[in-house]
Amino acid sequence: MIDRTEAVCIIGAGPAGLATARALRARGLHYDQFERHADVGGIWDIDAPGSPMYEAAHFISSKTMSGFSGHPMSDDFPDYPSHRQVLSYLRSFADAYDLRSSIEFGTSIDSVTKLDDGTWQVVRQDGQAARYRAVVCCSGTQWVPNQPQVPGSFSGEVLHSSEYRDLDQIRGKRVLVVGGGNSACDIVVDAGRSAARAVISMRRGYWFVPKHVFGLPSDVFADSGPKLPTWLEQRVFGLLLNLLYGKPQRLGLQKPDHKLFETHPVLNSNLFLSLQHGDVTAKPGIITTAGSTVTFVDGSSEDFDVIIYATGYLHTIPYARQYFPSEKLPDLYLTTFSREHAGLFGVGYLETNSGAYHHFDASAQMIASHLDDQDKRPDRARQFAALVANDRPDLSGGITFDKSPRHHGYVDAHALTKYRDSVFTRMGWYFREHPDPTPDDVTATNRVSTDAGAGQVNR
Amino acid sequence: MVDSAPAVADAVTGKTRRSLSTGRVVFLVIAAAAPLAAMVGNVPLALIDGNGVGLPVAFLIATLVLLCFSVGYAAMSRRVVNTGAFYTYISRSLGKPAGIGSAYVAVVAYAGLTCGLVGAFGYFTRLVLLELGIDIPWYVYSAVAVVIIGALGYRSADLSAKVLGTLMIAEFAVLVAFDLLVVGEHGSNAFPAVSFTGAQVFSGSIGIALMFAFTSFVGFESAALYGEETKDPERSIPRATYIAVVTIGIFYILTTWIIIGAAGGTQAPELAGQQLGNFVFNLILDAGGTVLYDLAAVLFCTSVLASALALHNAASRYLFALGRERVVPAPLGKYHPRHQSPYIASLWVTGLAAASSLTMALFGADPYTVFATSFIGLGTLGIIALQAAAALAVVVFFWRRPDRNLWRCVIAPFIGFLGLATGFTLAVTHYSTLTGSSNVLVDAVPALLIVAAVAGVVVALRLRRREPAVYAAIATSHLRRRRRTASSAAPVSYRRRYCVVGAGPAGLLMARALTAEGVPFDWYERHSDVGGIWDIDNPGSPMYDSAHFISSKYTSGFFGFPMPEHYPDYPSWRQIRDYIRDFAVQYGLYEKVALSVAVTNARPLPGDRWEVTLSTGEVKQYDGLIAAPGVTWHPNVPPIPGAEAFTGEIRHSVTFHDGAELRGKRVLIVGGGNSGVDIASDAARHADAAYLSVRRGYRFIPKHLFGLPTDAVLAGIFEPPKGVSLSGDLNELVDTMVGDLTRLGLPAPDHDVLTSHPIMNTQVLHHLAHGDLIAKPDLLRLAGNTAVFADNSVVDVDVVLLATGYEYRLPFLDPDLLTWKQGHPDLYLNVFSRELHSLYVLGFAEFADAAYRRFDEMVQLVVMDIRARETGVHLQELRELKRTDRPDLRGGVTYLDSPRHANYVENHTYQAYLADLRDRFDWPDPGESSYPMTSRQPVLPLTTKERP
Repeated sequence: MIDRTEAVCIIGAGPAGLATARALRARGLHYDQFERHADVGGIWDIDAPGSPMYEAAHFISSKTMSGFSGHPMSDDFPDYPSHRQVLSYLRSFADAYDLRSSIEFGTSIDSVTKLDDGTWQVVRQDGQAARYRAVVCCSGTQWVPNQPQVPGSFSGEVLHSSEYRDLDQIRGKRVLVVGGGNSACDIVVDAGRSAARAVISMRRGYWFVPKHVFGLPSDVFADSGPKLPTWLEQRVFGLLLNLLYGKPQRLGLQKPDHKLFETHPVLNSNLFLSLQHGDVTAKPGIITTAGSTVTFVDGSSEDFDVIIYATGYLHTIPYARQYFPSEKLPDLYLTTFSREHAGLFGVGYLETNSGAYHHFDASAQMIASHLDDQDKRPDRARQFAALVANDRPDLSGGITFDKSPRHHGYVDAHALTKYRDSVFTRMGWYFREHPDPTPDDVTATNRVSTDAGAGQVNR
Repeated sequence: MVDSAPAVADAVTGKTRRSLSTGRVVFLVIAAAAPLAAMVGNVPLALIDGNGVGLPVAFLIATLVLLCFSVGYAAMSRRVVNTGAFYTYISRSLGKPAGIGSAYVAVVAYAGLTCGLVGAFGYFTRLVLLELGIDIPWYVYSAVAVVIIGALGYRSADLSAKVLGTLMIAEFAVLVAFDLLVVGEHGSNAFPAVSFTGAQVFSGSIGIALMFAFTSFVGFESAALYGEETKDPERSIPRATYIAVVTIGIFYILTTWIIIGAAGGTQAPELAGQQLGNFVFNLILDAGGTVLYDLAAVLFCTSVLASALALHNAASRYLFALGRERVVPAPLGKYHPRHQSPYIASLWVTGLAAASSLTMALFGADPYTVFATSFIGLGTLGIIALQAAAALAVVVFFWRRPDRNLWRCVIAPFIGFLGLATGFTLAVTHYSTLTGSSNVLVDAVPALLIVAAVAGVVVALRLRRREPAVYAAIATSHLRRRRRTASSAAPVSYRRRYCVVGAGPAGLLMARALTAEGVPFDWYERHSDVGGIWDIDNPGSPMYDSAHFISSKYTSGFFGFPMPEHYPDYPSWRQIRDYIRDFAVQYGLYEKVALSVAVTNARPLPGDRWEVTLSTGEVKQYDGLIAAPGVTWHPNVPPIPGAEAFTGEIRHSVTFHDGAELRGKRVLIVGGGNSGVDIASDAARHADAAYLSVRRGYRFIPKHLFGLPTDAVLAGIFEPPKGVSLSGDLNELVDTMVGDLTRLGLPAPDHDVLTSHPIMNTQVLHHLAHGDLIAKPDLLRLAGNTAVFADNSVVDVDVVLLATGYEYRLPFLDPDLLTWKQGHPDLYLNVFSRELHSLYVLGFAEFADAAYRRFDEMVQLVVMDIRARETGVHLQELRELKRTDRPDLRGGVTYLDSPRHANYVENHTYQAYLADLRDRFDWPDPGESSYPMTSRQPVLPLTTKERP
C-alpha cells in the first residue's frame, strides 16, 4: 500500500472537487485528486457517461449570483448560462488555479476504509491502494437515478431523465413526463416543442418561480430587497408570484400544498408559457397503466409512447457505503463533516434553497482550515472535533421543510450561512475570497462572510 | 390583441366598481343641488332682485328647460356609450379640444364649488353654534368639513350616497314639514294665486329670478359622472337625471310658492328684503316653533356639507377621467384597489379645499362674502356653461342624423340649450347680484373659467401634435347598437351575382354574411380545404409548427362563434385551423365553396360587371368581385449586399415549417416581427447557434399580465388581481413587466406601444436571457459564410432566414386597376376600390387588434354596398364617399416609417369611423348575435399533432 498519509484524497473533479482542491492548495495542504471521467466538470460534462445533463439545461441561478468567489462568471454569459457555458466556466476555473495537473483522470474509486490508526485506505478500481490522512467525497449526488416502478403494465418506452439528452429523442412521440422538478419542467417543455403530445404528471402542487421578475433574474431581484423574516418572505414572495404570474390552477396545475420555500424551488418560466399555449398539458399523478394507456388520479386516461421519469436521484456514495448507508442525504456537520468518522468529509452533499457553489467553497475552506489546525493548532482542531460530534444547530431558518425524501436534510441557506459564519468566528478561521491571499488580504477578508454570493440557486 | 388606453379604461370599469343603484345616484345628485341651502340662500335674493311674487314661475320655467335638456341627454346616452361625462359628448360633437376645454372648466367649477361650500359650512356652522354660546373661528368648522369630505370621498361613492341620502331625506323632511305646517295654518292662502298672474310673473326682472332658479339646480347634471360606478348605467343615469330634475323642480316650485304664501303673498319681497338670510328661517320658526327652527338650522349646515361632499365627488371623478385620458397627470386616473374610488383625485380636491380655506383664514378674508360667494359663483357659472355646452352637443350630434326623433333629439335639447345659455348670460351680466358681493376680486374670479377653458384647448391641441396616440384615444365613445335597423327591414331580393375569391377567415366571413343577406354568389378556393394560411398543407402557407395565435381565445373568435373553452389561452395554428373549419361546418359554408378551383384572371367589363377565368378553364361573368386572397402569400425579400457570394443558404420564413429544419446549423433570423421572434425561438432550441437581427427597438408585449392573457385583461374581460390598478399608460406597464431590453442586447424601444404592430412574445426574451439566442443589430452584408452587422460584429452562419414579411398582391387582377402606394392598393376604408364600383377587397388591413372582428365589420361594408347597388338606396352617397372621402384612419398616430405600417389603421379611429358610417346608413353594429346559428355541434376534439 502506498503511504500518502501526509496527503488528503479528493474523490471527484466536479464543482465540489475543484473547490476543495483550490482550498487545500491555497493552504499548502497536499492532496491527490481522482476523477473517473476524462476531464473536470462533473455533471456539467454532457459527454461524461451517466451525466444527467440534457441539451436544454441551463443554470437556474443567474450568472450574477453564481460562480466561485474570486472567479466570477464571464460578463459575456447570458443571465442564465447554458450547461455548456457552465462547463466551460468550470474548466476555466480549473485552469485559472492550475488544478488539472494534480488530477488523475480516468480513475474511479472502489472503496474507502478507515484504518485503525485513523488514516484512510483508498482503493482504486485498478486495485491500487493508498493511505491518506483524510478523504473528501466530492463525487456528486446526481448519478444514481431514482426511478419508481411504473404502476400497472405500461408497454411503451420508459426512461429516466438522466437518459434524456435532446428533443430528437422524443420527436413525434406522445410523451408523458413524471415529476415536478426543474428537469421535469425542462424536458416537458422540450416535448412541447418536438413531441406529438406533451403531458406532465405531478402528484402534487408546487411553486414555480419564474426566471425573471420585471426583466431581472429572479435571484438578483430577490437579493435587491431587504432580507425579510422567513415567515414574511414566504408570504410576500408567494403573493407576488400569484399576482404577477397568476395561480397555477388556472393552467391545470395543482394548488401548491405547502408554503413557498418549503420545497426546493422550481425555477422555470417556460412551463407556464407552454401550458398557456396548449403545447403542454398538466395532469395529476398516475394511478395505473395498461398497454400504452396511462390513467391519472383525476380519472382521465391517455395513450403515450414514452414515459420519462424526472424523479430525481438517490444520494448514495457507492465507495463509502459503509459510512453512508442511507440513500438519503448523509448527516454531515454543516453539510461537510462526518459526525462519527474523523477525517471523512463531503463537499456537495447539501440540499438548500440557494446557490450551491459558494457553499461548496465554504465547506472546502472549513475542511482546509480544520486540517491546517490539525497540523499547527491541535487544541483548536480538538475543539472543532468536539463540535462535529455534538453540535446540532437548527439550520431550517424557521422554514418547515417538506417531509418528502427529497427534502431530507434540507437546510435554509441563510441559516446555514449565518451559523457557519459564527463557527468561522469561533474557530478563528477566515474565509478567503481570493485564491492566493497576501498577508494583507488575510485581515481584509477575515470579515468577509462565507456567504459571498448568497441567494443563488444552483441545480 | 393589444388595445390602447380606452381599453384600459374598460378594464377599469370592472364589475366590482359598479355598486350604485338608480336611487343612490339620485341621492348623490340631489344632495349636490343642496335643496335646503338653495331655498334659504336663493329665495330671498330672488324675491328681492327677481320677479318678486312670480318667483315660482321662474322655477317652473327652469324645471321645464332642464327637463328638455334631460330629454336630449337621455336620447344621446342611448346612442353614445361614454365612459366620461358631458365632455365625451362635447368632444364627439364639437371636437376634442372643445371637449377637453369643457372638462377643464368642469373641474375648476366643481372644485370651486367644493371649496366655496367648505367656507360656507364654516361660516354657517359658526353662526348656528354661536346661538348656543359656542364661539369657535369658522375655519375650525371648515377644517372639520375638509376631514369629513376627505374621509368619505376617499371611499366609494356608495358610502357617500348612503350618508348623503340620509341627510337629504332629513332636509326634505324639514321643508316638507314646513310646507305642511304652513298649508295647515294658512289653508289655500299658502298658495297665493297671484304668483301665477302675468303681472307678477313679469314684474321686476324675471331674468334674475331665472338665474337664481338655474343656480338652485346646479349639481343635478352630475349623475353622468357616476356612469362607471352604476350597475346599469344605460338605464339608471338618464332615469336618475329625470328623477332629480322632477323631484327638485316640484319641490322648489311648491316651496317657493308656500314661502311666499307664508310671508303674506305680495308682502313677501319686502319681508325678504328686511330679513335676508333669516327670511326663510323666521318663517320656519313661525310655522314650526323652535324645534323645527333648530332642526332646520342644523340641517342647513349639513346640507351645505352634503353639497360640498357631492360636488367634491363630481370634481374628483372629472379629474379621474382626465387622468385616465392623460390630459392631466396620469396618477389622478388611478382608482383605489379596495374602495374602487378615484382616491388620488379625491385627495387632490380635498387638498385644494383645505388649501383654499387655509389661505382665506390666513388672510382673514370673510368666509361668506369673500370666500364662499366668489368660489360658489365661479362654480355655478362654470356648471351652467357646461350644461349649455352639453345641450348644444346633443343638438349637433343629432342634427345630421336622418333617423332622429325631432322632438327628443333636436327640439328638446335645443330648448334646453337656449334656456341654459340665457341663464348663463344672465348669470354673467348679473354676476354681482348672484354673489351678492361688490368686491372687485370676487367679481374677477370667473375669469378663471376662461383660463381653464383655454388651457384645456391648448393641452388638447398640444397632445394632438406631440402624442397623437393619446389624443386619438381621448374621450373615446362608441355608438350603441340600435334596435331598429335596415337589416331588419324587408329582405331584398337580389338579382346580381357576386364572385368571392378565397376561403380563408375573411372569405368565410364574407360567405356567411352574403348567405345571411341572401345575396347569390359563387365562391372559389384554390386549395382543397378552407382555412387559408392556417392550413400548413396549403402550398405556400406561411405557417410553421410553433405558430400560435398572438391574440387570446377570449378576444379573437368570430362574432357569434366563440373559441372552444378547452382551447389554451393562445391557441396553436392547428387549433385555429380546426376552429375555422368548424366554423365553416357549423354555418354550412362547405356546401357553398368550390374547392380546388382557383381564379386565374378577373377582368372588369362595362356596366360594373366582371369576367372571371377559372383554373378549370371556365370563364364566367359576375356583377361584382370580392377578393379575399390573404396578405401573407408573397414573400417580401429585401436585397442583402453580398447575398450572391454567400456560401450558406438564404431562405424566406415562408419556407420554414419546423424547428427541426435548423438542426445542426448556425442560423441568422432577419426581422423582429411575430414570425421572426417565433422562428428565432425555434432556432434557439434547435439550431447550433441562433442570431436574431433587428433593425429597430421593438416593444415586446408579454402574452400574459398577472397570469392572464394580456389582451383579455386590457379589454376588461378579466379583472386585474385585487390590489392592482391599471394605469392609462400602456408603455409604462409593458416596460415594467418586461424590464430593460438592452440587458438582452436588444435596442431600446423607439416607438409607443400603439404605433407599431405589436410583437406579442415572451418566449424570445427568455431565450435571449439564456443565451440560446443572440440579438444582433441590422444586417449590413453577407460575405462568404459570415454575416456583418451594423455594429461591425461578424458571425459565421449557415442559414439566413428572412422573416421580412409579405407583399400585398392580387395575382388574378391587373395591378393597374388599382392605385398602389408603398406596396398597398388605395382602398376606401381598406375595402372599396375607389375606381371600380363592384370591386371589393378583404383583409388588406393591419390591425393592432384581433383581426376577425374587424373583418366582420369590413364584410358588412361590402354587404352594405351590395344592397345599395341592388336597391339604389344610398347608392350615390356611397359612390361619392368612395371617390372623395379620405379619412385619416391613423387617428393622428404616426405609424413607423416602414412599408408594413403603410396600411396600418388605428383601431379606435377605424372602429369609430365605421360605426358612424353604419349609423348614417342605418346598419346595425356586427356583434355576437349578428349571425344566429340554430345549434352548434360539439367542436372537433383536440387532436394530437399529426406528424409525418
